Amino acid sequence: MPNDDALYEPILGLRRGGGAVVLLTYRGDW
Amino acid sequence: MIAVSTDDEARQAGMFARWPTPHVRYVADPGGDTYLGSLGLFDPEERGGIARPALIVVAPDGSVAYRYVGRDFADRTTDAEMFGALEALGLDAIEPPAGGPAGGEADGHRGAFRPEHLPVYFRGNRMAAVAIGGRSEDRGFRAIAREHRLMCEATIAAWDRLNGA
Repeated sequence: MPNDDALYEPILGLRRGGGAVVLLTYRGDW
Repeated sequence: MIAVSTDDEARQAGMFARWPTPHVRYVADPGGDTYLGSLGLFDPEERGGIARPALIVVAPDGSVAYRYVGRDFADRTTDAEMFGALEALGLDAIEPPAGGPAGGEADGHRGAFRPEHLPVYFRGNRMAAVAIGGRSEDRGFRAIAREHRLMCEATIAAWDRLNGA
C-alpha cells in the first residue's frame, strides 16, 4: 500500500482510528 | 469505505447527491496516477483510461487482507466474501465515519445509471443469467452464469434491505 502521504489521507485516517478500510473502485458515473 | 474512480470531484459530488451512500468516501483519481495505477487497478485501454472493477480490504496495519479484481465490468465480488475478510480481522466495530466527496460542487450531471434503475437492471441481469446458463452443457460456463445470478440476487436483496422492502 502507499506510504504516508497526504494524498492517502482517506485510507490513513480510517486506519488510525483502528478500522479496516474497504477500498472499491468504480468505472465512473457516466 | 472508500470509492475510487477517475471521475473528478464535481462528478463525484453529483453522484453522492443522487446515491444513498452516506458512509462512502469518494476519492477522485483522474488519470489514475494516485491510487489506481499504484494498486494495479488502472486500465488505460478502456474509455480513455478508467478503473478496473475491484475491491480491497486493508487491515489497520496497512496489509491487504483481501483483494478482488473483476475480469470485466460486471464481475464483482460478493458481500459474503467482503464481510468474511473483515470479520477475520477480529476488529471491534467503530462508528462509520461520514462519507462524501473530497470537495467540489455537484455538477448537476444526472448520470446514465440512476438509483431507480438499479433493481430493474439487476433483475434483468438475473433473468439473462438464468436463460444463458440454461443454454449450455458446459459446466464451467454454467458456473459463470450461476455466479452472475447469485451476484444479482445478492445485490437485489441488499437494495431491498436498504429500502425497507
